[in-house]
Amino acid sequence: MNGREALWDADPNQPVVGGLDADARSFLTTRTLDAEPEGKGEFPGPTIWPFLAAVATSAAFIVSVFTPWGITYGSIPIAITLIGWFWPEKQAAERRRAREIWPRA
Amino acid sequence: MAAGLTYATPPSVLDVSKLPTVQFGTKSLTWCGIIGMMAIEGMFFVLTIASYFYFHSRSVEWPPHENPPILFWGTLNLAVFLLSVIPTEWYRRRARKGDGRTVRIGLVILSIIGVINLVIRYFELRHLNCDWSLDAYGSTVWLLMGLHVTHLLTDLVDTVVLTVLFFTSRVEGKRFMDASENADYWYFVVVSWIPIYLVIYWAPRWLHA
Repeated sequence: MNGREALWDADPNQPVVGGLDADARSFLTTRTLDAEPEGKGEFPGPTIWPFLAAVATSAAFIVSVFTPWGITYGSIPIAITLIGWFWPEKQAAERRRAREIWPRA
Repeated sequence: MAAGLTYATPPSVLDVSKLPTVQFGTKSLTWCGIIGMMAIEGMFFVLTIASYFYFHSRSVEWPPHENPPILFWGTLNLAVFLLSVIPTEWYRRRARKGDGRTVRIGLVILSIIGVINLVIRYFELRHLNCDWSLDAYGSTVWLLMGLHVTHLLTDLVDTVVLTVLFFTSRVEGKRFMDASENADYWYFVVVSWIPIYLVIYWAPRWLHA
């Protein structure tokens, strides 16, 4: 990058990164000190589950103001929404499995 | 330059297509998140233990008007926790090699062990010999137990969900990373129980003497 506006400040011969997936939210992981790329990952797509988890968490906190059991019973819908959030979609899992690269032993 | 990277010229393109998508330990983002969570939660344990000894320093009698917790259940749980490290380390190492069968077996074993820990924990709570609302000693003991139960329960749910996932067709490299990190989290639950066990079960006896 050459400045705060990555697109407008780009040099004409700016190096580019190639090889990331174009049909998924791919990202690079880099080393801490020299920012050398060392792996690839994928962010999840849009889903309603984080919103539901937030609603469940808010409800648990609100009920806990009136009774401590709000946390105990409230943790059940929170757990359900978290599981729904992290449960992988079949198509996405199959796509990732087909493309996955394991580190060299 | 990291393995799997090639710089091509011209034009200047960094080809990352051969970089690994499955990474363990310090190269995994979620691993870093879990370490951060352990640091935060570990600090909660430290602060609660510090409170325990502060209250002791302000009391003439310890435990105040109560008997220490019964040793048996806590010690039994400690033994189960320590033994659980063997299957956990077994499947954690195999997860890094993508051995699905071993990871499935390891997760099933760990799920069963987690349930056993939880059942013993129930009896522990029944034999603490103190009430959480009676005095500062009781509150601190119950808070310590509550914090640890929360992690035990969280890891158990995590393990069970992961176990079920490993019996579906949605297993991919990322799930092996999850399995490995689940083992790391279990180690946190095991290791944190050692000082908590000493504080809850042995400190009252040593400080009383």
